[in-house]
Amino acid sequence: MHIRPGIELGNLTDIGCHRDENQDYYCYAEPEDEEEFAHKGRLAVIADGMGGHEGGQVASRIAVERVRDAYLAQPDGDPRENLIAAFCEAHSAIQQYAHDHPELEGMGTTCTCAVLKNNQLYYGHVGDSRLYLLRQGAISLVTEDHSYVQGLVRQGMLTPEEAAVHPQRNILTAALGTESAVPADFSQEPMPLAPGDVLLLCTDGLHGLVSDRDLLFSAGGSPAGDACQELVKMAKNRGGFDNITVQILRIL
Amino acid sequence: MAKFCANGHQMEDTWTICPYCQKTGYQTPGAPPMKTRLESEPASSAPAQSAPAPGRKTVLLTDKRKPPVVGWFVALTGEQKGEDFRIRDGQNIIGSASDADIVLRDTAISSKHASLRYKDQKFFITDLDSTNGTFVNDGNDPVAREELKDNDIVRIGDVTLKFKCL
Repeated sequence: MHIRPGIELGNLTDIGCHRDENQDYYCYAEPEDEEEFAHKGRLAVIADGMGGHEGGQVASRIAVERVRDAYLAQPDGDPRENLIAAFCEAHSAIQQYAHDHPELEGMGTTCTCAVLKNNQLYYGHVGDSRLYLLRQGAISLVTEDHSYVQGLVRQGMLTPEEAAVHPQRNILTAALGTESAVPADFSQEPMPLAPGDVLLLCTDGLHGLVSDRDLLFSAGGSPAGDACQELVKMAKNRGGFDNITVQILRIL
Repeated sequence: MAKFCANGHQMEDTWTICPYCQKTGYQTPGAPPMKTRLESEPASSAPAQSAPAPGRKTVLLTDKRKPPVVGWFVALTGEQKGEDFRIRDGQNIIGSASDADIVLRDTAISSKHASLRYKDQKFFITDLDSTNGTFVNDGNDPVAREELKDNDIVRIGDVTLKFKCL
């Protein structure tokens, strides 16, 4: 696909060192039509699926493709509203698929989507995949994990450092495609971006093993594609316990 | 600029097929992915509710598809012994077909064996011309249509189900 000027994109996924399937999935998309592009902008999606019998793979794939297709199919309008509609559709689509394939019941997925329109950032987010913003030598986490340990951090019972190594840090409090309604976060106001800013989306296979400082060091300096290679390698050198997926968008 | 496949996955210059697109059995219904245009409701009707969280608005993604649960079956015998099955408002198809609402794995059960309908706070089970019939409680004769009360027993093929209403 042709990527319009304005950003530098890199992305990579890796099965890691211990799993026998890759349950992560991701995509980057732009509408083909110029006018559509002006209304919708570009989007990057990542998802980390869970569930046996290939359920995790299926769930993350449906989430990524549905969020993308539904977002691009929405009528022109507020990207935030369109993202909400797209997440709802993906949520229902996974439930429907599980309903039609009882052996996959219980599958679900995280999903994090960044939309970039006129250098404004919008996002939608469920689960513990993450969206970071790197700006002027600093890294900040844009999304908040929907996880048990993050809940404890919020209540002041754990520090973020303790949460990062907590044995129950893999427990999610929200995922797309599960039985009931799920809480999802969407950007309240669009966040203005400037040339030089870097967006980094990743699954917990990366941020669980690579510190914010290392993310900043790699993604802030190297070309996007090289940084992805570097970060995946780093996670694998440190054990690679889970599937690893990263997408980097640098605003030019 | 690096090379990207139709799904925006970065590829090595030498690759002609994207390895990341090939993995699972799931296919987006319809045309090639980027051309797909799905039926969608206007954004304003999205079932989004806001929760009072300072600084960050959390939206609840609700399940539009499934009606509420109004009762359960619990399998007392057969391969699925101990499993529970949700009964939802409206019609519930019981059978061995994978698209039945309540899927029972038993060779003596027809693909669409019986229907359980909840309406006006009453439950009625109707046999759908099944090969081996539907039995309620201790009855030795198959039933055509029968009202179910809490704790009734339904026998379908070799499976015995206990009915619990909400």
